[in-house]
Amino acid sequence: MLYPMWGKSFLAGTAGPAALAVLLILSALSTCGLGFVNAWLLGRAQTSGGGLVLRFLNRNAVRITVLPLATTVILFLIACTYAVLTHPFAVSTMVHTFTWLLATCGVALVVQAVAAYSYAAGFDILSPRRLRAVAYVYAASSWLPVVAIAAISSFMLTPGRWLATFGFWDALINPTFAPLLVLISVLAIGCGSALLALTISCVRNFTEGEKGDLERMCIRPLWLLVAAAPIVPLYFMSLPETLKPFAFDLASFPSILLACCAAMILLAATVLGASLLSGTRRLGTGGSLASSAALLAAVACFFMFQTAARAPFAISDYIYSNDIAVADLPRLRREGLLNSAFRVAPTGTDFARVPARVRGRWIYETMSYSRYPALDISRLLSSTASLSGDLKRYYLLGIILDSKRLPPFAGTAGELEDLIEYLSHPSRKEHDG
Amino acid sequence: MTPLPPTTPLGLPAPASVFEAIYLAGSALFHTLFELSLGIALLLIVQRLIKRGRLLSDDAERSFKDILPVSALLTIATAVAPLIIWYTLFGSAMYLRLQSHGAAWLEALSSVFGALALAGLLLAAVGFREGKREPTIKRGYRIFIVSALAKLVASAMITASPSLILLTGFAAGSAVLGLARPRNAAWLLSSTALIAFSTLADDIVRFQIFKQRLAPLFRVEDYALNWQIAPTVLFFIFSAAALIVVSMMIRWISIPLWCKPEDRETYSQDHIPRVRLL
Repeated sequence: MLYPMWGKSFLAGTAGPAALAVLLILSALSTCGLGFVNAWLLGRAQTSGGGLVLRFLNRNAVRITVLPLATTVILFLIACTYAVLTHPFAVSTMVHTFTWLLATCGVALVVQAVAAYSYAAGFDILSPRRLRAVAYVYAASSWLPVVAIAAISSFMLTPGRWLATFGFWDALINPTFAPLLVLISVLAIGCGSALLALTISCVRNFTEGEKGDLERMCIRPLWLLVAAAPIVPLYFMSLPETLKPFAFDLASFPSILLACCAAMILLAATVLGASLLSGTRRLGTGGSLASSAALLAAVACFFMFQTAARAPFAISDYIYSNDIAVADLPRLRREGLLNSAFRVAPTGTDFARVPARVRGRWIYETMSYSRYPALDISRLLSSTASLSGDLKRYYLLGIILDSKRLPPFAGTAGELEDLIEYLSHPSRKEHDG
Repeated sequence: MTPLPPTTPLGLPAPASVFEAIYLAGSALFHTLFELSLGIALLLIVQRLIKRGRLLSDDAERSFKDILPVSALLTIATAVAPLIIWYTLFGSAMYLRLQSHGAAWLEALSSVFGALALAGLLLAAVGFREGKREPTIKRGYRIFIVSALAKLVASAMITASPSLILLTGFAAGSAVLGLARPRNAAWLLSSTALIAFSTLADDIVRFQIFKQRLAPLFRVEDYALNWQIAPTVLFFIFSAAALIVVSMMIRWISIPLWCKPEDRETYSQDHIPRVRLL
């Protein structure tokens, strides 16, 4: 890539798009959770005459519905553009596979926007029945993006039969889809409850006693977290055998992420459970902030685990994380990367006349190696400074050919030599320019 | 070298198929709506920043604020239509990846100037709507002329398309004539039509460049949608249901909101007539 910003591994690497995607997921899940908890609270308050809850929901209707939705839409646009710029082929594959699911989500977004506006503007003027209907429409339409997240995320990890059929239903109903959907739906409601508790602790015009009553009311759906616990083993059982070692090997990065996820959920459950069981003790700003942050961190760790577990693939067994398809690998190795690549070298270049170092730089950029910390130019400059000659060459060959988390080298033997020539004397200025 | 595609009398490459023509028209529409929303937002932000400059009159600012949610909703609705957004995003991203980073900044500049140009035209239209207020109309034309010329330079440096340069130049010329005769709506209409055609021309040229540069890598099926019957039918059923639900909600909310404040006292939910969709 020739963009200065994409050249930075922390922006264009596997971590950059993943982090942005995780932010979008957190926002979408929170929107959905807030929607459901809001609708449930509204229904209960209307049927049991809960004036306090109604007063709270009325004053915070925009915060609970419009604000999360707007955040999700903005993050969606940023994440989409970013993902397309860094992984166009992988995004194209997912768009072609899930076209109609994404289109349905688009329609749901319009429904959600109208429902959010109607709810916030019509709290005082709509009849109770209609207000409840609007709240449930908002919640239901905010759940569809969660379905899409579960479908796409599980598809990227376990494409299953889709690899043979390329069919929509095979992609959607992949081995990990159902348990993941249940898990993240429950986590969404958990996040919604915790965020609503945080909203309660931040609002004014309510006494401490009223805030305590509201808190205890809104964190009740968290019992669902306990109810959903049996789904967790189901999810891990549905992982393919090749991925299970990553999940359960305590020394691997994915398993560390999983452990963090479990710890965060336990922390949130402890804080919220203690408040719920004590009956009188208030959660407060600290407690609600800690529980919200822990639950959101748990979701983030879980999705980072999914990304880490499928490395070096973007879509398991189909596309590598540098956007080169598995099926193209033999052809690229036979015909040469530069002859077949379209990304970096100017059209019509006679590669034989170009110096080996320049060819090496083009290969480095075509393979998108700047995305990977192990081959980041700054890091290489420091790690190879004390090496010389053959030692440096073997060190670089070891990284390129033996690393399990890097996509395999997709060029000819001559191109590998060009790449080593470039990486043996990398120039930060030349690379950035 | 890939041979150049057949061209239309204006020098534009002709779309290869009906699908491509629909795609290009949709893409241009999306492009225009997106830039229009961006332009309105930019003008409002600039207005806030330069309070003494009085970029917009109070009436115009109010009108813009009225239009902003509608245009934002339209943009979102257009953006989520898969036939347009995915291919536009995908196409432009691949196109951007082929350019040097200098051209990428030019792209961004071109979009911003295009947005301001459209907002200028909208401002002129607001002036007409408010009883042909000449200061508002003239201010709109001036914003349009400066922005359209800046867009012309930025876009011409990227695609060097004669049709784009001609159409944008004519649009700016038409606005200059409009500046001399601000009460004549013909110049506003011709500027609007010419800048719309210029956007379409810009999209066609970019699309052709994108196709030519990537021709060895992309096959027809890469552009084809995944037309499987069941998910497609489900999507249309869902869309129909969504249309009913959205219509109902708009109906519920709009009648009480549009009531006069004094009538709200006597307003009753029972007065809302049943939703008639078709």
